[in-house]
Amino acid sequence: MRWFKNVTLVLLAFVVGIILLPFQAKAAAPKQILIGTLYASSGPFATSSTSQYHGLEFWANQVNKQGGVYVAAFKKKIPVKLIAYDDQSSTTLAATLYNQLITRDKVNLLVADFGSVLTSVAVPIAQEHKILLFDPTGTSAKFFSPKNPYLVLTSLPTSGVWPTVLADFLITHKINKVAVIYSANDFNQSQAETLKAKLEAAKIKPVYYHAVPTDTSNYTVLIRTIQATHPEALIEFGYPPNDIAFLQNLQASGAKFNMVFTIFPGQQLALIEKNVGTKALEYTYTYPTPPLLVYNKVNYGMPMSEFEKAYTQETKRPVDFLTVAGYNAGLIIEKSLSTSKEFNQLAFRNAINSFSGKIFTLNGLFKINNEGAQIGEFLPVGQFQPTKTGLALHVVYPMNIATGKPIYPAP
Amino acid sequence: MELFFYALISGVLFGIFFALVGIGLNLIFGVMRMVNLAHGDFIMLGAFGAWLIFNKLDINPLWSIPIEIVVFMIVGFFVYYAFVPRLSKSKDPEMLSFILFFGVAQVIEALAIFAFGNNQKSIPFSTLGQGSVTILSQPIPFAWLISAIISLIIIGFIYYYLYHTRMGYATRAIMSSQEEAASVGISVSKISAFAMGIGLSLAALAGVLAPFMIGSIDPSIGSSLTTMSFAIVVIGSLGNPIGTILGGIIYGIAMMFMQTYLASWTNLVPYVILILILLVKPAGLLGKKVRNA
Repeated sequence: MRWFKNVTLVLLAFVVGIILLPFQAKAAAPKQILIGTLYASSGPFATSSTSQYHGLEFWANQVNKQGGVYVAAFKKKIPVKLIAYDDQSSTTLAATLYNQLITRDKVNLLVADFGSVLTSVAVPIAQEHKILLFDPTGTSAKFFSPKNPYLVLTSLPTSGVWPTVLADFLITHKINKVAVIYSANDFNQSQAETLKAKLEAAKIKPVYYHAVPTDTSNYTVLIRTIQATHPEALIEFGYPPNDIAFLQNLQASGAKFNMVFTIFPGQQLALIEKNVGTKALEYTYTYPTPPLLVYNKVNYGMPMSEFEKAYTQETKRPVDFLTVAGYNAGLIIEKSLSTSKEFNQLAFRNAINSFSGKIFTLNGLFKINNEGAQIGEFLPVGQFQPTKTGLALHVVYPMNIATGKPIYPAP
Repeated sequence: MELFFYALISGVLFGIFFALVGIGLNLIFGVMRMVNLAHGDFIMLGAFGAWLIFNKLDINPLWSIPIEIVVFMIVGFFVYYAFVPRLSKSKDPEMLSFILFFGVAQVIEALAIFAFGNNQKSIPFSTLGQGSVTILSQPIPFAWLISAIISLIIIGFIYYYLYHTRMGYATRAIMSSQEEAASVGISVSKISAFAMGIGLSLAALAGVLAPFMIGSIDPSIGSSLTTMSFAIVVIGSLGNPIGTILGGIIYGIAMMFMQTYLASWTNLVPYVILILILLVKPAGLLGKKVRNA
């Protein structure tokens, strides 16, 4: 009879286990939603990274003022806590800290630091630990694959898509002699490659097409070399320090081109203008982004005017695109938590898929493809035109959203 | 051919500036056999000094030169008496100096972030003169020419100090052998403290010109400037300040030719030259000759 007793006990334990399983699966609501992120207080990405972090921090403060973020899985509001470490713009340190956020701090969600360089180490770590990575500005196309469901790009299209409108602008305006100089990193290289491919498809072969090291701080000799190829348009793809050095050197060299394009004046105008002066930006082209580009059809989160007012009032800091990107990442997190019926990573991703293409934030339409890459936003072409009070950034292409006409060639 | 001459002239002008960037590091190593890994951070501080003078007092940044000479001489004396005598007593002062000055570099960078923030700062090139000047039919930015001339004058002073003054003779005697210099009555600690002051002042003066030569500045530029200084110093000759001039010019010309003809490889070539020189002539190009002078 001893065997009968043992079998009965085992069966009983099994039945009790089956009965209790649903209760066990439905874990208790956490006291706080832990969001792990990194920022760079020093190094080449410090300016951009801290702006992005401040935007995310502002979102967390706003949410907590209202009692927390609504978590549909627990049907209640739960306060948000940001856990942030300083990666000093170092990918090595960032890799350690991302791991630390997941394994030691046990964060519920992960937000990547600014840009493709610092996001590149977060993507495989998040995938390995099966934690959803909210990526505000790491736009390298190499990050995205249908096999990785643990990545969502919240703010910008993948960098390879950025120059699509720019290429159309050049082709439409019959600007056939184009020089392209770009910093040797994923972000800039993918843009240069797309632009080159699109121009070549239109039978325009760039007269100059070269990469330079990302830490290049003096472009004068390069500008002189480019000048010798007599281009009509000079396109420089770089990070903010590159754009500053390039525009400064261009002005100092006295070289003139019909069209000059740089990326970051459209994202961090205050920083660039402070360093290179208004004169150096006159008639140059860029990608206009919020807050310089205002979307009116906002159906989730604050519209731009309200955000600018609230943010500057609370933080005493100016708003730039990266602040908007940080805040926007917070909005997408908020929406996914308030939509997902279950509190697990794949459920969050499925929730994001369900509202993709349906919400308009201050950053435009949020829409992702099956790889998690942003496809709702696109980057128009804008030109800085002098006014009596300084500079005005006009969207000059595509025509359906243009706010002004391009002044070409530059005087 | 136009591009060739432009790269050559730019390379020489940058080379003279690079010589100033490296010479302070080499002087300190030559006298104390200590590696100042914070050298680039002192250059960064010098650059911020010029930026402050220009931005807050609205005067020409070159006025920061006399101020920075005094300030960094004092800092040099402090750094010497605070660290060097203790390091010298250790078994391996060279290795310990690496670690110590690495720490100093980190502290300086952190303090600079507190003081100036992370954003890039710059001084308009036009503060040193508008437009460009024609050299061998090539339009060279005026700011480069002025920076190279100032660098050359400062290097000239160092040459005069080392080869035509009593303190300079004593400095070179210590470079050859501390023990022998001490045995003939030279005060090694006083001369070394003075050399540390001069070394840091030279770094700061290179910093004053840095915004016109290397573009915008921020607190994190120190480490790359230190690395660059090492390459320049080793190409010329470690321990021989005058060899640094040659190292700087080779570095400058190599960099500018690479930017002109093979832009993607710009960062690589100066270090390839460094490796080649270490393999062919490990003491540096002017290694033996001047060290025994």
